[in-house]
Amino acid sequence: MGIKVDLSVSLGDLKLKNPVLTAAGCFGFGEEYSPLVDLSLLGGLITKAVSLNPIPGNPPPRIVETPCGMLNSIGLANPGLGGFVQDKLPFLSSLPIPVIVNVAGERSEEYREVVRRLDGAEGIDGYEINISCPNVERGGMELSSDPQEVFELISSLKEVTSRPLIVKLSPNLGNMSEIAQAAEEAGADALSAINTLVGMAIDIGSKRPILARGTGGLSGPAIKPVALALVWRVARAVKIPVIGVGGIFTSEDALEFILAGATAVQVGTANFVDPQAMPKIVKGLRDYCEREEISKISDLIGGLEMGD
Amino acid sequence: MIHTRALVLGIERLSPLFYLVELKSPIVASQAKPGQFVHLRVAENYDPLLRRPFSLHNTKPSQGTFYILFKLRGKGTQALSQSSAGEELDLIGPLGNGFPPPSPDQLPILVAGGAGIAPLFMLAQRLSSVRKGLFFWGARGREEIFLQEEISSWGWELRVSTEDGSLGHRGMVTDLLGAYLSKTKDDQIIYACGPWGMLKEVNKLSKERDLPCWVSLEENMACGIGACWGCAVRCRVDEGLVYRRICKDGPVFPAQEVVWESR
Repeated sequence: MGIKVDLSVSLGDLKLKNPVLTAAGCFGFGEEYSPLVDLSLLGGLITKAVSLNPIPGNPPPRIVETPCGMLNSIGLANPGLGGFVQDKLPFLSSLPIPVIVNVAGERSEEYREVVRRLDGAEGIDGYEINISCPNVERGGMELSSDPQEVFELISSLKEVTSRPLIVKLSPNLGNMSEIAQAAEEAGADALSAINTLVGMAIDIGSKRPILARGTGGLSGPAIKPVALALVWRVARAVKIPVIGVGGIFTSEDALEFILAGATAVQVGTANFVDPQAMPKIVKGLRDYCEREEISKISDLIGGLEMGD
Repeated sequence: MIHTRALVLGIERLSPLFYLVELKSPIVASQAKPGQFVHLRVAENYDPLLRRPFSLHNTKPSQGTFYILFKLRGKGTQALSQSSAGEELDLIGPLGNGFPPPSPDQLPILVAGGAGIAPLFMLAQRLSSVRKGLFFWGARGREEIFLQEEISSWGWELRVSTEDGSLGHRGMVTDLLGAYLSKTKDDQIIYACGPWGMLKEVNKLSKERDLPCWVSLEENMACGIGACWGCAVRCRVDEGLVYRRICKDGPVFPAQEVVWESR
């Protein structure tokens, strides 16, 4: 038997018993996976995006596999705030783990309204503000192109909630560190990096894009090196915790992100491939720490050594 | 629904493009209903990455085994065709809703196109103790028509069409179906699985005669359990136009609900 390992980490005031969270959109509202996964083993659950009004989503085909990855163009399909509170929240609030609601909208007033109205509800431990979805015409990624707009959005959300706010960043705009700093300045408690990368696949027979909307968001092992480099860069640009996300399938992947500066990680596409991916990652992190005699995983955060 | 590893008991190449795989999973074999599917991991590495959904083709509950029948189409089916007896495959299943049974006075009409034979074979077998009917089966050529003796032995009347005319009627299976429906007045119920264009035509024929019709649809899938909304299909229901998940709300839908112009 090795040493007793402490896997807990903190995202501001939000304490997680381990650093493994679900990535928004890849785990539904938790209930869908509950027959297959012991949710109590997870560090926390981040829901599928919730918007003020229901969103039907994009025309199919919505997904296509690409080498070591997949493109999705779901388009934030969700039952809206009312449907979420009525049909999804009762299950989520019964869980023994922190629940973070991913919030999406077309305009800043919509984000504010969703957060304001959810703030009265029990069973929610924080919000992840999605300003980086590449699959919608308005809102989403477009919102995160201007640091001033991001600052104003997050400032206005801080006025209506005291719960932790996590801002999910887009890798598609080129100014991620600037956006990260604007969010930090506005009072964001943590950042998630990265959302999916804009990608495309074409059917050479029909000469049409495979996804009905043309482009989609690339996820999976294919994007891990890109995500890792961006997390490394952002983590050095801000003081608030960064949650690493992008192609994490194993505990080794998660450790790379933690060494690059991530305080926690999110697991997305891996759930589709193996619903046990997250419990396996938690176990793998514990095994690694025992083997390396690391008593607190938080000691590893940003532990990357660059040499001379 | 379970997530388990299933032993491959055998894999047989039925034609240049079709394979039949026998897998061991007592829970799947005993719980599965016709029209349901299993979500299989076809490779242990990341390419192909996602699981692939396969309709249940047959079950042997007493032996704890089930069969899937698939056609070579891409990377996923290519990988699966390389598996061999003794290997284990990671599976989630049985998933989806399955075909609703006919009422006692309804004559079941099965319509299969190409790889759409897979779930209808199991449906015919299960229904044969209750109510036998007609089985229409269309394929490209005679090499893609197999196991027909079994279907006939259960008491079903099999009518075959091939596009190249190498077996049965030369043309489309919907030609056969249309000709048959125009000559009978029985109380029928249609179950169909096949390419979108064929299903669209089957829907048209069933609508003209006001017959209930169930179709099994397919689409690229990620989670397979209703979480990701990747396999949406446009449907028209009382509340208006909605998206349904093929994996969770289907894969079997009332044909009249599907918006056939959406593809």
